[in-house]
Amino acid sequence: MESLHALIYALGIYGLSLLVTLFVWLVIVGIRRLSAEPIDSRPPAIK
Amino acid sequence: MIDQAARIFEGLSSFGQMDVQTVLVRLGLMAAGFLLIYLSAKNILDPMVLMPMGLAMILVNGATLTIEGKLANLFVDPMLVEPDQIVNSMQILFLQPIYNLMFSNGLIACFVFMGIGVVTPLDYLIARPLTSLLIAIGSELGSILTFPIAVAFGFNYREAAAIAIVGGADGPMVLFTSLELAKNLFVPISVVAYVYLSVTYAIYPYMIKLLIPKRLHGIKMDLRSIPKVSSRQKLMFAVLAAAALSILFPVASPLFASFFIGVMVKEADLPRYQKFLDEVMLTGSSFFLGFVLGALFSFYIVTDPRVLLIMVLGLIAIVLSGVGGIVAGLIAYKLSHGKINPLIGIAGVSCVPTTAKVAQKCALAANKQAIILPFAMGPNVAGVITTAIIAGIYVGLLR
Repeated sequence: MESLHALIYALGIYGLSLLVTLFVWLVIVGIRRLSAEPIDSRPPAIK
Repeated sequence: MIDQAARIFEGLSSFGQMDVQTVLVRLGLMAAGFLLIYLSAKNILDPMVLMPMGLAMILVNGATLTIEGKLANLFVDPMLVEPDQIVNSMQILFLQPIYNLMFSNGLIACFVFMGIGVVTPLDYLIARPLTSLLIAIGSELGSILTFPIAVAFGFNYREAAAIAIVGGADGPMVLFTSLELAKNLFVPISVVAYVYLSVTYAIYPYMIKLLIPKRLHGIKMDLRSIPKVSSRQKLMFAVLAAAALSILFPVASPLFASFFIGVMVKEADLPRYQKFLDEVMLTGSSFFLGFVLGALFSFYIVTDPRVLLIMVLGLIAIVLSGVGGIVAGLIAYKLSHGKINPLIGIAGVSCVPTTAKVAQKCALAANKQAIILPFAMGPNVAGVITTAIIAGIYVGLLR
């Protein structure tokens, strides 16, 4: 029973960490949007 | 005459003062030290940490003597708590000052993180953040599922969390979490973690062979598909991520500060600091980490029966994280319609840069032209962040 409670607890922590990870993703996306030097996603031209 | 000989050769005569079980543990640890040195010399394990650790394990268990009627050694005693005892021991035990200055407060973990930050490339993480972060969060399976398993084995929540974080495969994080949550298990958890981090080199290639179809190993990834990321963007990310994560998890802020100050120094192009953090701080910390951890692994600490359990649970954590990373890599392969080599999934287990190198090694074994290391570094660095997040949540909730 205690293990089941621990499993649910751990899955809750996993969910919370997923949310915080998505927040980090938003921070990166925000930096990319706000940056004066936007990322050039096009591959460089082959000469 | 025999009494005098016993007093002169105390290391030998001390065997006579122990029961058979303790003698076997003591000899076993010395043998384990020799094995670590042998495997490190063969480059099967990471020699930077494990070679000094092996030597210290041999010496600390060999050089046993009697101090104030108790069996002890002249290296270090991690069990001292009273300030008077600690100050007195610093005058006798030669590693005690380093232990109290750098280990008992987690400073060593921060020093290692500063060094890791300065050698960590952020390009792929910033260019492809969602892929990197989702693979990394998949690779935290061991950090999560080992928690209820450890509770089932009889550990309390704090101890279970400290053991589970071994699944993050991030040495400094393991040190930090065990210091915060289970100081009584700090020594066995840290040693088990560092041994297993090196063992990832040996275990993960077999897991890759077992779980990823061979035809996918050699998938080439187009290096030109990595967008250019400027130093300015990476610097901005380091500063903002450090600030945001520290506000969210103040308990883990020393680790965030240490990692991101390393990244900042790199991206701000401060070569003297870079050299200092990499060549002095990281090298020196790795050396003392191995040597002091080995010296902590003496027989009177290891005779705790829970150490064997921690070894089993540590292995479970590392294997589960590897499985999670591989599954996340396969999902990324499917979603990208075959453009992403699924081997980069294993790099989500954030043992920087070991697991990324494992991915590259396996890819090259299948296809000499498959260069995936720059791509694997994205989940690898993201793994540091996700492990720090999970460690921060565990410590925040259970401290």
